[in-house]
Amino acid sequence: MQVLALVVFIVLAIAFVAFVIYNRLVRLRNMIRESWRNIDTELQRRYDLVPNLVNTVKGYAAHERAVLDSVTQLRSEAMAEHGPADAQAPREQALGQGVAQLLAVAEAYPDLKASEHFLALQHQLVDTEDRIQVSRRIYNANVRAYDSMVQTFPSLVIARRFNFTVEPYFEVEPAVRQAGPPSVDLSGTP
Amino acid sequence: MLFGPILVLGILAVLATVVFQGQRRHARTDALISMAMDLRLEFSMLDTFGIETMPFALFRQGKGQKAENVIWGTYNGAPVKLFDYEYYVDGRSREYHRFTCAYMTLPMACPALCLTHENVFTRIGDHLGMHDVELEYDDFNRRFKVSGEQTFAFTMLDGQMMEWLLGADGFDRVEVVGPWVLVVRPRLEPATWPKLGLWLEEFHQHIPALVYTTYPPQ
Repeated sequence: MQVLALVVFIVLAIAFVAFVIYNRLVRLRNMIRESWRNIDTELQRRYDLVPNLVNTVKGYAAHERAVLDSVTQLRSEAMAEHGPADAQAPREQALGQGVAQLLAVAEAYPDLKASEHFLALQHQLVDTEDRIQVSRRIYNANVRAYDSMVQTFPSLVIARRFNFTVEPYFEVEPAVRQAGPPSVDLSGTP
Repeated sequence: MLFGPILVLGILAVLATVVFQGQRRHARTDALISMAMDLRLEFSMLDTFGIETMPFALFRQGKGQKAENVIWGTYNGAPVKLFDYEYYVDGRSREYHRFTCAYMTLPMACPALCLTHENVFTRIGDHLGMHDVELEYDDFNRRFKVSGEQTFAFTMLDGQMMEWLLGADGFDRVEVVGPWVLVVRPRLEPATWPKLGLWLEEFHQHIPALVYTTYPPQ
């Protein structure tokens, strides 16, 4: 009788632990999805700013066609990518670098640099870049906590049983910074 | 026979303690007045600002909350106040907790955030599922417990801020709520109060610009 009670207790304890682990995995996965939605909101904000930036620069430097077309193309490619975070990251990285290059081009045009509209856009882009980085850090922190649970014992037993799989990180370096755009070699630009 | 002398000695001891504590209190107040004058700041022995009613989590702990010895003024354009604060907890005996605090008012309206040090109990809590906000630096997570909204924590605690906090760990507790930043230390000697003010100013300098644009004053 005592042995039976002990066995029942052990089974209930294991079931309880499994229940707690399962719920935590679900919670972490939902946090990852929510934090990805927040990244998506900030990325969308950047997509919305880019045409405005392109048109503003075009008004002062229409002959910088290669850079302007490049940024427009990179924006389209980034918007078209709806894959997981590790597929999206290279596209966003490329777009960020394209925007930085466009801002570097503006350095050569004093009238453009002095334009209030351009300065406001630049400020908004820097702000958006900072928000993307915060959202990215939150997303990656959630992914790290989740992936650690999925891959370590004993939670990996529950993870495999209920098909929880690792999530990818979103690695994008900030391209546009408060101090101003990075210097870019434009010697090859027509 | 001995009861009478013992009683008299006991009363004398109590009186001596009261007088001694009163003298210490006066000496502390005098030192703070002198320091405030040197720094061209104002001083009030009493809290005329309603500091205890401010929405910091520390001020909701225990009973008998009291702020006193308030020094205030402007530092680098930001209003700042330093003060003594205490509360007590009733258990087998009354246990007093005494601190020296400083807070600054800044142009922002932030959700509540609290930064304290990890200890055995908070680590046990972590293992039992009571997680605080975990940032990306393991060193930082091991040393500090961050309570508050995840998004705001990540916005306030960027890489530079975390690195600075790890190197300038001279606080018991930091709280941010609304426009205020509060730093708390165990009760300090008056001569070290300016260091607390300087620490608070350095914290202010490390606040990311994004905090002000994301959480502007309402």
